[in-house]
Amino acid sequence: MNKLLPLITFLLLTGCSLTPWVKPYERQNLADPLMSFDSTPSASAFVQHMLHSREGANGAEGGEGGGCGCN
Amino acid sequence: MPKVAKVAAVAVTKRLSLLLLACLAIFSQAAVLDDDRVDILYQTYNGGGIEVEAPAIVARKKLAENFALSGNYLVDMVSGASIDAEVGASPYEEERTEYGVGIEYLKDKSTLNLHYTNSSENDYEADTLSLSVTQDFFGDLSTVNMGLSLGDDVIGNSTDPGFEENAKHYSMDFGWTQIISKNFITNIAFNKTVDEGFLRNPYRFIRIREPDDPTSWFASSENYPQTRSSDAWSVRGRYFIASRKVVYASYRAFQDTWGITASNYELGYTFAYRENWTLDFRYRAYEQTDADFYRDLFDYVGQTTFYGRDKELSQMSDQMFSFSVGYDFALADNQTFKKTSVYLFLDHIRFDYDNFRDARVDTDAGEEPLYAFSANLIRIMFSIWF
Repeated sequence: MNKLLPLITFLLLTGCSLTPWVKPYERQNLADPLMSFDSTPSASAFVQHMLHSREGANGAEGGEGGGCGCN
Repeated sequence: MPKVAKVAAVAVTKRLSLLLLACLAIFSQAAVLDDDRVDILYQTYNGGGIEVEAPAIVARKKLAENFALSGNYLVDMVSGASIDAEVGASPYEEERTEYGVGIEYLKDKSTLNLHYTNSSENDYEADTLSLSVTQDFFGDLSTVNMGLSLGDDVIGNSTDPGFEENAKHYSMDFGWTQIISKNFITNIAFNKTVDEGFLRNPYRFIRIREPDDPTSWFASSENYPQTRSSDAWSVRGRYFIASRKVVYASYRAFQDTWGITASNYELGYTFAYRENWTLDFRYRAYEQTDADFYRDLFDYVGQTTFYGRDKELSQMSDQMFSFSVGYDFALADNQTFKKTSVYLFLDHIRFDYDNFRDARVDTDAGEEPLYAFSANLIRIMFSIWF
């Protein structure tokens, strides 16, 4: 335990030293809806479903649709 | 334990406790759920011989500060005939309905999402259940999300009432979103999917060269493997240039056990015009290799163990150009509605197939021109936040 204490102390110290480098009052630009990765997910689902049924690849790109869509 | 060591240990324990409390204080700043919202959409697709009309409604409502319900309903009305329907025996008209219900539960920095979707056609029934957890870290600079999804499909055939097959889909997602600077945010995502069961389309077939006449072909049913495992990863980023102008880019790579390797990238620019307008320009390019068992024309019966001719498994590419414009406005009763907006989305996409030929053309087998087509999408969305 005595040997682990310095390690735990170090991890906690470094963990807590990761104070946010972008302060809350500096996040005005990040909070802009234009910075959202998908601000209109309801509309994106239709395109994702269309691509999902016409391309061989899927996943890691937002919403998935159900059904065949293969006609 | 010697007394000096004991005192030192107590001091260290106290210090650790303080540090732990400090860390917990950072983690426990409460997050909030999104505002209540209703989206009403009218969406169309026109290309490759088919037309789709898809009205939809999506709604979410907070029942408490940490609990929300959501629901969505969509109808896909398909008409016309794709190249597959013209050459084969697919139905020329069909309708698909999709509904979903979800719950969202927020606890401190964690959000739990549970969602169920049902998609129903006269010859295809799909149920999907998904669970995901999102956790913010380090003063909201980092967000991790993990998700699991289970899909259960029942596949029918409108030309054969006795036909019924099943497929299952298992999917796992992991994502990390990171604020890099006050103007730059990135995201990496990984997806693992395993599909099992009947994975082909019962209406499609392969072409085999006639043994007695190599210039013509005959049709035969497809035979796909019963399992497919795929991995996909992506990286995305958005950068706030200045004065509500944002550029963004993404890249995704994919590979599966059927031999398909694919990648796509996207570049975009979105900006605000005056106070109420939002405009977006986007370009997306995609390419893939073909599956190991894909052939446009098989030379003889039994040439490969598995055999398929779905154009989605061929070597192909596509390019999509997208534009959208949004307008925020206030309704007269703006005490009830926080915000309202209307969006118009226009997309043009071009598909090019490198080894899928247009079998409708009456010429020697294997000499038909390569297939290609374009499609246009129009989407209109009206949104209300309340």
